[in-house]
Amino acid sequence: MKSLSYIDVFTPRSLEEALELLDKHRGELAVLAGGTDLIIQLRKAQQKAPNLLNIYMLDELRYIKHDNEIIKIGALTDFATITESPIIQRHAPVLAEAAATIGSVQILNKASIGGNIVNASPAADSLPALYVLNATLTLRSKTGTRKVAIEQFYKGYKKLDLQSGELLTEVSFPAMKQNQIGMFFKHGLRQGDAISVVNGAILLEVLNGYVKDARIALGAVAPTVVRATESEKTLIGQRLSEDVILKAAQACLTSISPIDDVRGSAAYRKEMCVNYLYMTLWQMMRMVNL
Amino acid sequence: MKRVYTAYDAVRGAPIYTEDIVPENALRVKALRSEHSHALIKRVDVSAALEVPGVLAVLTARDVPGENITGAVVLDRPFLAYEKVRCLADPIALVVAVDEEAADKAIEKIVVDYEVLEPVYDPVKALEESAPKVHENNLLRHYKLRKGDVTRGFNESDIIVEEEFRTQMQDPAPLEPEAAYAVPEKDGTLTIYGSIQNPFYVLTGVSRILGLPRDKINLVVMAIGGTFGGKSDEAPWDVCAMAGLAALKTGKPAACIYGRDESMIAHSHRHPAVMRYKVGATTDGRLKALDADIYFDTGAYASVGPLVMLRAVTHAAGPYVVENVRVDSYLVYTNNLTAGSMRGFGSPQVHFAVESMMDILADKLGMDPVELRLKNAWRQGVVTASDAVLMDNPDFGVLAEKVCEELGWRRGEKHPDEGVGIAFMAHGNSLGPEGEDKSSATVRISSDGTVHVATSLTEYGTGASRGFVKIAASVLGVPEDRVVVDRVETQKVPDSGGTFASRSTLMGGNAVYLAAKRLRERIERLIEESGHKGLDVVGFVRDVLREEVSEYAEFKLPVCDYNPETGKGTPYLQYTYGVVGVRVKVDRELGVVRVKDIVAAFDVGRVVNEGYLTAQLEGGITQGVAYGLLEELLIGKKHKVLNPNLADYLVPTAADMPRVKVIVIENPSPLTPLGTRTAGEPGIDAPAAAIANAVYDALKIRITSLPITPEKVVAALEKSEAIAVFV
Ligand SMILES: Cc1cc2nc3c(=O)[nH]c(=O)nc-3n(C[C@H](O)[C@H](O)[C@H](O)COP(=O)(O)OP(=O)(O)OC[C@H]3O[C@@H](n4cnc5c(N)ncnc54)[C@H](O)[C@@H]3O)c2cc1C
Repeated sequence: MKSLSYIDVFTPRSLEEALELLDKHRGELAVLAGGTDLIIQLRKAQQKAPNLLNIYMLDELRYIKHDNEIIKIGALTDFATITESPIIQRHAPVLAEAAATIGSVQILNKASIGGNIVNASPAADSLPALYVLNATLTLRSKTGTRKVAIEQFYKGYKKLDLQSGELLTEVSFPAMKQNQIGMFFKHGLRQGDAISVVNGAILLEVLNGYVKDARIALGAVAPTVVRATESEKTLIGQRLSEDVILKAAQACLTSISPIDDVRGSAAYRKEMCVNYLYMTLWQMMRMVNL
Repeated sequence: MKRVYTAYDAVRGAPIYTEDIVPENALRVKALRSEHSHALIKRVDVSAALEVPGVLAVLTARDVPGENITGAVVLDRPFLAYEKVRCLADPIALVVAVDEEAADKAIEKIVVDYEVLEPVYDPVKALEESAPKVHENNLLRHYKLRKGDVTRGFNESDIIVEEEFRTQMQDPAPLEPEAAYAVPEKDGTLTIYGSIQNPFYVLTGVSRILGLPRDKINLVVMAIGGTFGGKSDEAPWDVCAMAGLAALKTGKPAACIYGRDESMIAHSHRHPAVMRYKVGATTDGRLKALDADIYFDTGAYASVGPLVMLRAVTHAAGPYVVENVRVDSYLVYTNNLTAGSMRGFGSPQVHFAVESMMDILADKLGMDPVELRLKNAWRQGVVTASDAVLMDNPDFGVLAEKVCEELGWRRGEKHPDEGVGIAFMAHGNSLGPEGEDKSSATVRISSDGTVHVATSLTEYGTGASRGFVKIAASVLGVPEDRVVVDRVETQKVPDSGGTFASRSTLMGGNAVYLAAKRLRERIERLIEESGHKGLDVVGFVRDVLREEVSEYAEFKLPVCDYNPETGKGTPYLQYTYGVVGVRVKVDRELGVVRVKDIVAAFDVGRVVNEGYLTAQLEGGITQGVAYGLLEELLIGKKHKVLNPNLADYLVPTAADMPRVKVIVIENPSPLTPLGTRTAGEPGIDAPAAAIANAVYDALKIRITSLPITPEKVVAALEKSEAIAVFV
């Protein structure tokens, strides 16, 4: 553990000032949001910690809006706000469900969705939900704004399409439609403050009892969150039945490449992935066929 | 005289802990620890480390002024390793620097050449002839339990069951890591402030390492942010000696404060165990024979392992009357991290084995597990497994009845994948065979009428000091707010022995009681002689005598005559008795065991302070549930510790615990003046076994190794289903 007392912290009062500072000190500043990942990493890091750009005061990055069937969330919005938001509960319940499982009350109040996205842990709990919602990230720098689909943002383990000088300011996605249902699952080793052994989100669009579209994202089973494309294919065009969902659950094995680690063996992770997909699809089947 | 800190100070964030009082400009001491579990040290080069700006000194074994040796029971551990390292916690060099950052940098610059030796990690393998030698002899202790003739016992048995159990290394994980701050005084003495559980033991160790006489060192006990055993053994000696050595070498105040990872590696852990049991009984459930081999892995050093082994072996047959008993227990050196004190002290391991065995047997006999236990449970006057008559007066019938009633034991319909399990426990009070148990206390009334209680027993959240206040106040007939427990400083308080083995209220409480009683009698005599009848004790001292009056008393328990060589004799005079029942629900797909309900009844003799008492019992149960389901220091393929942090070392959260119903029975011990039984540790003994038994009740799978992780449950279910298909 290291003392961090020598670090300089810049605390801008506006987004403009923040982007200005990021540009001026290109590559020398780490962005500090809630700090629930960053501070721990700095204390453990081998190299000297960088100076910090503390954006925690920028309330202009805290919002949840419903705009023309698009849901927009400011990057600094914390997970307690997200999970309690009526807009999210109504238009993206799968994200509300995922957000509620993050850490404990203290973490929920401090941790930002932007931090969860940029920290890029394969086990991050908001990511599978954002994947199935087809989320778009808004990245801003002094010179401009660009939008990236969340799946394009991750290039490998903790490799991001994010330039120095860029700040993540917003995450947005289409509001869920009437005929879409979504569910999130998480397997942790204890009931509170658990890091996911596997997690995942499923979003199904159902028309006249048939699956029109299916999106399944799985976490903690590969270097980045992955889409279970074979499982999705197995479902599309089908009516949900025990047979179909079992096949779909088993098909996920082609998409994942888990490793052995302190939270579980690869074999156990695979088994949990299949079991969770089956259990979650089974619940969705009940909802659809009611 | 400063008082002991209270819970109120802690919750309002008062600066009461060691780290809180370390000034900004104090020097920092950090240790370089071994890269290997077993290796010869060929060369240590500190020259580059000395070049790092801000570094004042880099110290190795050569710089130790006193004896470079430590050990709570056996002197087997170098304070700073030389020649050889035996586990990853071994410190090789100390860096003294102006701040942590400089110290960290310098540590990376120290070059150590090792010759790696083959390590041994399994306590059973370590006993083989060809095993690598951690010390001269890997077998550290061999203790026994003997009664009757087990061969005859098994011949007379109708049913015999056998099983092997394994338990994990549990970390005590107190909230505050180890810390010490040493200040060299002008008169050549050294004051060391620290998170110190047993100050007089630490004083012995530190004075030996530093080569300073005991009276030249004053150890001041700051508020202790938990210990659970981690601060009972040698970790506080190390931090105190490390800070003390730096202060001596530089002439400046220096602090040594462990980070979480260092703390989890360096302090004492619960002994991992391998336990092979065989039990025989008649068809009507009489226990005829119990035969066991028990291996405790003490890691690289003994610490208090020999004492832990004594407790384990003497509890190894459970609170049952068995006609014939043979237990051999082996305490073994390996290259694992050192095991020593941890809440329960050898007792949770054997309880897991014995209480699992009782259910396995009950199942074979087709008998109710509670009925089988009650049929064989201890009563006053029975002959125990060490062939001694029990003088104490347990009543398991009452305890079991209360738990079964409250839990709804096997009543009504069983829900799918739900199960109930039960375990009995008995926890020997005080030190028993671990040593002569003597405690002492001074109680004084100062001229302003304040009552002071002084012992060397420390307060780490158990409320023992509140108990002393209550006892002194009630004996002297004063309100509790007039009584102060003095802060523990080795130069100022009497040596009352260590604050371990749940002995504070039993041993210290009785000493405080005797000292207060003496003080009252003496002052009452003075009142009588001086003709001031009608004045109360404190009023007389304050208004008439106007000077301090003080009394000292010792309280001793008779020495127990259990002999570990013959395996016979009385190990403990009295015990705390308990019955723990749980209801679990197991998820077949995920392997997750959820504890839905816990009901536990304990015979605590007499209640001194109800709030603290139930807090201790609930806390023990919580840590016991974690022992059963969650906590394990994981060792990787390259034999590094994988989870020395609180993200991956799974201490339970509030969400992991169900409602815990604690029922307290007051059945005073006939053997001590206050009649109290101990409560700090007993809660941790039985939950793991009760959970394992409940999992069996739910799914008919028997998990014999702790912790019961989802992965193990899934694997066991697969195996049992495969067998079912096969059959
Ligand atoms: C006890 C505990 C429990 C936890 N439990 C969970 C859990 O259950 N599930 C889970 O997913 N996570 C968990 N976490 C991890 C963490 O809380 C989350 O990942 C959180 O969302 C991070 O957000 P933050 O605001 O704290 O980010 P920070 O720590 O401030 O930042 C994280 C990273 O993102 C960068 N960053 C932050 N904001 C921006 C931005 N707007 N633009 C560009 N870069 C940015 C930072 O530079 C840094 O690299 C837990 C952490 C702790 C300490």
